[in-house]
Amino acid sequence: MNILRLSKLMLATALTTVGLINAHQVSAKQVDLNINLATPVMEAETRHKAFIKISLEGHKLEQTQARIPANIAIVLDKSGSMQGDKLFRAKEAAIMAINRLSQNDIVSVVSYDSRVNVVVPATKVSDTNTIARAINRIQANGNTALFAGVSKGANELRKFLDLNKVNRVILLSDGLANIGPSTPNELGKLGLSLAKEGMSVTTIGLGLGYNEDLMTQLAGFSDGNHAFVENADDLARVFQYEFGDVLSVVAQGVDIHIRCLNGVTPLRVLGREADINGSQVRTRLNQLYSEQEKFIILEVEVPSQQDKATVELVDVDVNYLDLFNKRSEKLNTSVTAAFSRSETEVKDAIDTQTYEAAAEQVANELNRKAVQRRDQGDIEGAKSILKESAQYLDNLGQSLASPKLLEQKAEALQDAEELENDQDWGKKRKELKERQYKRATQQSY
Amino acid sequence: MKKTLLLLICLIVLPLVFLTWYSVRLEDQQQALLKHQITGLIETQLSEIDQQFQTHFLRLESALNEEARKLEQAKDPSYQLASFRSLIQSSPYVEHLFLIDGDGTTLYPQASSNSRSEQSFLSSTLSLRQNNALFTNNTDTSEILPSPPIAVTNSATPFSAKLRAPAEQQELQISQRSAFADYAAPTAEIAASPTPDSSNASLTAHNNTPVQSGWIAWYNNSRLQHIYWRKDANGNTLGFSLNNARLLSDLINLLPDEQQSKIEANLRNVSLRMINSRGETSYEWGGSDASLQLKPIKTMPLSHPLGSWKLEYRSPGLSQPTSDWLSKVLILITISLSLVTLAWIIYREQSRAARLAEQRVNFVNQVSHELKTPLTNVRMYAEMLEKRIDPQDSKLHRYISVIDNESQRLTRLIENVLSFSRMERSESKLDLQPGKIGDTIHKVVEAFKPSFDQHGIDVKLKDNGQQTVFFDHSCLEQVINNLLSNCEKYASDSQTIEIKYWRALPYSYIEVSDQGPGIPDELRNKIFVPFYRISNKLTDGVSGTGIGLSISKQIAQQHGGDLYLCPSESGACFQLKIKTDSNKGSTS
Repeated sequence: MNILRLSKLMLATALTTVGLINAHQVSAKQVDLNINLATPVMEAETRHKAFIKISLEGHKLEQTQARIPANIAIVLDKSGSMQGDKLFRAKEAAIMAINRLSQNDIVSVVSYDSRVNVVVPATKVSDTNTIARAINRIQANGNTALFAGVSKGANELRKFLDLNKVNRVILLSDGLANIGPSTPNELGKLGLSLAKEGMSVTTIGLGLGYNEDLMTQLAGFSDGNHAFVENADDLARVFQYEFGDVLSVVAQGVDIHIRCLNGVTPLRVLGREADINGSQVRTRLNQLYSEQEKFIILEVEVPSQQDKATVELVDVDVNYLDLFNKRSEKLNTSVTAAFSRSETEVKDAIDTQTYEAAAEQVANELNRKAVQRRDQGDIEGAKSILKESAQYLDNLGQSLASPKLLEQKAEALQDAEELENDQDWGKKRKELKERQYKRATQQSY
Repeated sequence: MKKTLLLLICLIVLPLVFLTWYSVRLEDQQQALLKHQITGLIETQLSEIDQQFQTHFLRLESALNEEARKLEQAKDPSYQLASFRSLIQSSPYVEHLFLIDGDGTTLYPQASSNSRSEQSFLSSTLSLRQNNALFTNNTDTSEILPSPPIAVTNSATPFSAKLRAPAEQQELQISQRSAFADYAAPTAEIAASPTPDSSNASLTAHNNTPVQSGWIAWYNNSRLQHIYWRKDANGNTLGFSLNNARLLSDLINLLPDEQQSKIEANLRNVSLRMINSRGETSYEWGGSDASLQLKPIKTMPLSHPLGSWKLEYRSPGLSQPTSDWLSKVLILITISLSLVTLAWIIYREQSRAARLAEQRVNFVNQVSHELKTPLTNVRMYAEMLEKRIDPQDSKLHRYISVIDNESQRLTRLIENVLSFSRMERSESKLDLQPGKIGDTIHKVVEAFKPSFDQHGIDVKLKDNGQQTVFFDHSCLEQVINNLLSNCEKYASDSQTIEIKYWRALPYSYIEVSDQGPGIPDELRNKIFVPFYRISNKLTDGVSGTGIGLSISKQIAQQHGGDLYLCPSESGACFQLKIKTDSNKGSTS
């Protein structure tokens, strides 16, 4: 049934694309595509590693425009550990957030402990009082069937799944998944599958008991947001941010296809999952928000070139669904690099902002590695990685005169200090994971 | 009294034991029946779930067949690998694809690929891809099951009743599904397929070539992974590796949530679990949460390709149905209580009656004892008087003999009463003394002489026993007294009474026969029952206690002998048999 539905949806999208392709030129695009090279001028006659930043930004919403309808499933953990203030705040935050929705939006609420309960089946937000009453009846008890909870939440979204809507599961959990699949890998796979259907999962980890790897994987593979909320009092704020994000989506299903030209080979994509195949790189963003810049940093190896040569490095195709005009859009751009023997020329040409962004992601990767090392019990190794990262940030910060990078350096040094404390590691790790995730995905809150 | 108590206890306990046994058996039977019925219901319920899953796999199959067909159509002349990639990128279900040509060479993913996920997929499926046998259909089944071919129609309901077909391959890890026959195929191949899919059948009609396909369930890092493979006309095998998390998510979505469980009657009081191959709970549902600690009532393995998974059914209501027991136990308690009450009442009445009777017997005993002393005095003074009076005065002599006779009669009566009560209390003991039985008989007959003379009865004594033997004199006297007293009372018109005495070791026999009316045959035994008196013309008007014969019989039995009525032509003939010995102590 779901399969049939999905294929129908895809067919519909395809038809819209074909039908509206002629109008392509007429109306304004909702998304800007920019491609920048950290080092637009490179030293000639040597091989280089270069960072390319491909950024996408949704336009500002105009007042007259009708908002894109949302299709939201709120999945609440009501296991025994949520009892008391936590569940109360969660319910309050959910109800408050739902009150922001309008009649065109669809909401469903799923709660889970050892079992899953569809508290509010997918419904139009017309009677918020009934929904609020249903939410208030939720009581804490039992274990944590997180996987099944997300599955049922996604199933509620499917009832009104529409690529022209913002389809999102918002998962709140405070504990370890202990019924059903519980590894980050499995949840990540589920997230990936949901993303392919046009849904994303935002994960909110409450308190210090949840599995941050699982939560970031689930959010990462489906391109949702992730937040670590230590205190239940902050839940309302996070829900407001999240709904703010959801309600500002301008484009969905963003496929980024990068082709490396002229012997350039892709090395890695920083921060995001990407599929590198030969000289081609493919990645995907589930959505773009109004006035939020999302970017990916691609590291490539550039073969040596002659002096004064200009070479096209990569060519980027972006496909996305414009939600306002309800049609598929295509953007294309490419970047060229110049080669010179003059050192000053190379130095003068450096794109500070792009380099900054790249450095931030490089440091972020190092931070990830440090956490991995710390997980293996190698505190000294983790520390040295962070110090290396700080060194890197310091060098670049000085030469680019970037206060942002120097700030990040101070952060890295502080992290290195705090790594040692075993007692607070649980909390620290959650903070680090959250920060890494937010950096990598340029999350707005 | 003890006997009564025992009897009453038996009366209570026996029916109770029977009732309990019966109700336990009945309950057991009902339970077994109920259990059987419920197990049947549970099985149906679980296999329905299994069928739902099978249907899901069939749907997946048809969706994947559709994709495979698209990929085939895009061939130019070989497969477009780019279309493989875009399928992986867009399909929520397919995680990886592989393509193996007829020679077993893997065409996709390419070994030269620098994609990390493709490389790890290649290494994890290496042995799988090299095993060519996995990608062939087992045609043997068609020979095993020679059913007539089923007509394939483009029916509107793609998953019809054939889903109910027995799944022979349930235990196999790797399904060997046979080809779907197309319209032209005249063979019985379609019948061999346990789950033929008509949507596939209509699909294959496009190509007009039989298509081989099947599911492989395999373990990757101890997680169950599914691959759907399909062979095209050129012998290439296309394999779709499914996203296992997504598959589980879809299966979970086929199962009810908590709210639904509370609404549906057959889920309200149960707890169901889907258990994966590692024994972990994948999903849990049902309306009861108290039953988590219980043992599963039913565990059912799922069909291929979920062969290593199973469903567990738990319910708290079935393992201990207390409600029925309670009423049965209540009934039993009520019955036993009323029985006990009844028995207690009976016992009380009985013991009161017994006490009364004992008091009466005691009273009679006492009175009899009290009577003995004055009677002895009466007899003594009568004898003394007889000696003092003039022997010529016949009138006075007659008077005195009457007094003597009557007081003797009274003595006998009292003697009888006392020995009866002694016997009742089992107090009497034999007092064996040496003597001649003939002397004792003479003595008794002498005592009766005046009375017999009066009635004109002649006593013939045939006595040849003059040996000295040991016997209880007074007892023997009492027996003969009783027998002669009966003759006096009931056979007064008898001409003669014959008393015979003989000895046949170790017994002595005394026979008393009269010429009276005799005793009817049917009453032979009854006359020895205490207090029994024959009621007829003869006995009416004659006073008696009805204990004489019974006492006599008991005395005889105490002597190791008996008293019985001998058959005779006329009159009554009683024979007394006692064990007598020349040495003391040999009788007992």
